[in-house]
Amino acid sequence: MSSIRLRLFVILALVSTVVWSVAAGWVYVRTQHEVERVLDARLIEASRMVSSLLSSGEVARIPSTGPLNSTTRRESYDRQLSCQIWSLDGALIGRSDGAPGRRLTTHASGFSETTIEGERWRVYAVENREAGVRVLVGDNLGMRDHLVQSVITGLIAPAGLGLLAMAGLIWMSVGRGLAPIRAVTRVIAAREANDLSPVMTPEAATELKPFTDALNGLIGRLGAARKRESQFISAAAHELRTPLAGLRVQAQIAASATDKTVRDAALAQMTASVDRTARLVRQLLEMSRSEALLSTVEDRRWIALNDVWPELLHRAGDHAGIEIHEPGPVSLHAGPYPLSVILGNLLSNAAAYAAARVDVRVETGEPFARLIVEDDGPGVAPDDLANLGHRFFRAANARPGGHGLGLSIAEACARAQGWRMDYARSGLGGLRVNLSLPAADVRAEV
Amino acid sequence: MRILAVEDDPILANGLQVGLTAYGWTVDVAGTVQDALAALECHSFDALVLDLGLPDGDGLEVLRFVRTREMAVAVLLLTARDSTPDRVDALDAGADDYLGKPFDLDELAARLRAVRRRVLGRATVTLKHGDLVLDPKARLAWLGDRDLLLSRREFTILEALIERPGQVLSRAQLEERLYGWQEDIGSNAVEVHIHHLRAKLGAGLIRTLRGLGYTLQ
Repeated sequence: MSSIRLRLFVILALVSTVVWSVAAGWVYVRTQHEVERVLDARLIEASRMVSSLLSSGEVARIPSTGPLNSTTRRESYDRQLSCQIWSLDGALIGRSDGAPGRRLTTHASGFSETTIEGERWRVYAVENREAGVRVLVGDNLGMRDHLVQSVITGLIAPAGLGLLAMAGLIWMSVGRGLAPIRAVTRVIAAREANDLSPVMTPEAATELKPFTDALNGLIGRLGAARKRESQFISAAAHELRTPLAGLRVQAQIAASATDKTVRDAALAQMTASVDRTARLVRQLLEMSRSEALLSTVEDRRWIALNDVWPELLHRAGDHAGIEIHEPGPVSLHAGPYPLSVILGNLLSNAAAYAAARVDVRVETGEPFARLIVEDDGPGVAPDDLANLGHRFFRAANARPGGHGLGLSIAEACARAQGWRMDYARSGLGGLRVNLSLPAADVRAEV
Repeated sequence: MRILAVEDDPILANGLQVGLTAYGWTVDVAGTVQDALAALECHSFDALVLDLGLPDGDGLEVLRFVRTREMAVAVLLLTARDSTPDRVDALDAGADDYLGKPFDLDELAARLRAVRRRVLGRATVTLKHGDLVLDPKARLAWLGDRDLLLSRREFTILEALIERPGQVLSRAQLEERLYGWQEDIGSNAVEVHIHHLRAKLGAGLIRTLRGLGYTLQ
């Protein structure tokens, strides 16, 4: 059931029906009991009354004359009681109008129930030895049931109507009760896509607060992500303008050059510029993917470093000086994409700055294993080391043409893996990058 | 006009050097704030094409250096950050003009000529001295009705002299205007150009003050 209103309505309607039914059952039982008690008392009273009349001798004993007509069944309560007077030796002395001809009970005294001609009777018998008679007063049980049923139907009919009226009221009340939800819905539905302010409801129901809080939390995160994105886009647009400017200027030179060597040089510069811009675009895409990685968990699996080195070394321009030292074949538990971005950027960066040599070492250990990449290049000034992983940061002696993205991308991907990167001066003279990863993410292959 | 282009992107820097040289100017390139400051210390420039984002600092540092030293240099900022507040900040910091990347070389050249005119306090596009008229944009010169056919360096020397009427420019000052710092300068290069100019203009126009330099009569 998807509608809260319908759900609440059904629950409330069912509960009320059950409550009303239980109440009706209880009333039925009580009424029946009470009717029985009152009518039984009346039976006793009536039989005693007749008996006492006979004792006083004020009523003549009239012998029965002929068979009596069987009474027609009456629906009204005025002929509910039947009275028979029997002599102690078993002769019917008298009976009330409408009483059956057959003896109402064979019991000598007290209560009993019999069925005569299909009708059930409750009979009270009194023996009057003084008058030599037995007085039987019977009550038609059908009538009794009819009485109880009348009481119950009298109760059920308004109850049914009441239930219907209540159903309507419940439906309306639930609707009213859900008004704050509708209010929040309206507020959210009426929002512009760029409105990332927290949702405030005019009728702030406390029950809705966790919901609006969660929603506002989401909106907050969304706003932060969007802000990051727009910062990123403006940074990217900004970064692309310089290579575009270079490209345009070189194109103008090539177009207007009369000297072939000038034109060829400009065209060569344009080719180089396009290559570098393509690299910048690739890095920007890696950057934005690494940002997205922070919020999604990519499938991580065991990746043997020996399987990825060839491709990475190729990306690093197959630098002859790269030496890889592993304690043995090692696998890392990582997402394939972030791993290749991290190692690819570290290797390319080291290869670009190295004079002759790049050392890559894997050191297993507890609680952190380390992957170290160092080069014998010019290194980075101590003041700049702290800013090295910042996006678009370029050290004072950075090589021309870089964009300050490689290491920051590697660092973002490392963070997404729960790894850490820090920088130091290498013993070889250049930069040393330490990638620390939990020992659980490193496995020696056998 | 001698120009220092401060730009760290090697391809754009190369483009500025080659492109602006084609307008007849002498262009030197610096890639960092430090190189730019060193160049400004040692050489005199007429104009500075300055990129704001440099690896070792902000181009505005170079601008402040030029302005505090009260160097007579026209400064044109070149940057990717060209929102209105950025432009306002740059102009308030003392820049003469502003050009967003990417830009057109012709526009850059036109703006350089314009800021140069402003630095020299001149409202006209052409330069005049008596019958001599120079058009720095077209790089053409006339003497009366006669077209003068001048080489790039001859024009540069004449332009330098006509920009500062009555002033004496030393041989070193003229060399500064003519050659970038990587170029070899012949020992009597300036004399040779002056000699050629005199042949074209007539002997009387350019006066030599022995030991001091040259000026326009």
